[in-house]
Amino acid sequence: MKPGYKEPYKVGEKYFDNLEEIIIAKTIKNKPKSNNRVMWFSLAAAASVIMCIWFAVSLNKSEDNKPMEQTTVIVKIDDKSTIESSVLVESISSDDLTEVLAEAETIKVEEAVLIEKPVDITDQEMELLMEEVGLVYMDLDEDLLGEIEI
Amino acid sequence: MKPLSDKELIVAFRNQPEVAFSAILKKYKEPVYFQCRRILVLHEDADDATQNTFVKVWRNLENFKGDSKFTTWLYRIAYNESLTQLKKQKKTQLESDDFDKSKMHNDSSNLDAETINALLAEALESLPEKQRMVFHYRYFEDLAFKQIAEIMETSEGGLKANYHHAVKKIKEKLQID
Repeated sequence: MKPGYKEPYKVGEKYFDNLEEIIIAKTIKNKPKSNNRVMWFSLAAAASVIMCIWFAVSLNKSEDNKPMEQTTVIVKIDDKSTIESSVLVESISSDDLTEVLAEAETIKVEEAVLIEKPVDITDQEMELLMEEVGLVYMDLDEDLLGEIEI
Repeated sequence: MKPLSDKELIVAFRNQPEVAFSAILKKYKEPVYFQCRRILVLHEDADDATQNTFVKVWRNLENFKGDSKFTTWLYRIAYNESLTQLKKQKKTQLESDDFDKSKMHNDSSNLDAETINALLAEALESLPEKQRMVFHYRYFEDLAFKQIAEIMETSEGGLKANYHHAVKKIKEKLQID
């Protein structure tokens, strides 16, 4: 300010001392300087990396624990017929599924064995063959049939 | 001990920012406050604008390249802060129907006892914002028109015209009143 001029506005005696203190508290003591900025950026970057890792891990975990989704399992018995089971069970485990598929494979093999055999086999031979492959053979008790007319 | 020049303070800020900033604050707190006060008139608004100005100086001084004078840079920040505050003030004034104009006049209690200064302050308050600022920089801060133009980001010719009008109005006001 030009010497000799008087400031028309007046303020309290200690106003400028207080103002200085307030500004120092907001600046020097608060220290929002570039070093802090770098520190905050670093912290934010580190936090982002941690979040990404955590997210990836939790995603994998949830994939493992997730119950098997509804899928269509096609079990081929032979060339002509297929069993389409739209979901055996919603919560079927992969072990169960493997077992089912293995079983289906066995049936397929046994069917093939049956097909290979000549059709003109005797009943006894058929009986033996069925027992051999483990299929249940039941004698029909004629008394049980009673008076049912077939 | 001889006080450090602005250039020396800026160099010192790179090594000892706290010390240099304290020195800048001591040196410029009053001019900055009165600059804000002349634009804003109200003490509270001038106080806010001054604080914001120095917070910005602290945050940005390391980026000051010295293309202009330090005072030009500092006053420009203060000027912009005051304009921001003025916008808020006007908004509040518009929003509040019962804006108490007497609050501005109450400040006259702070005026210097000398009548001339009181009248000058009144005359300044009655000036439009640009004229008031040119008069402030030229008359109180003794800045060259070139520097004022840099602070206010306007042409020197326009500023001279504004200054001429301001002086004329103040003269009239002082004579009539």
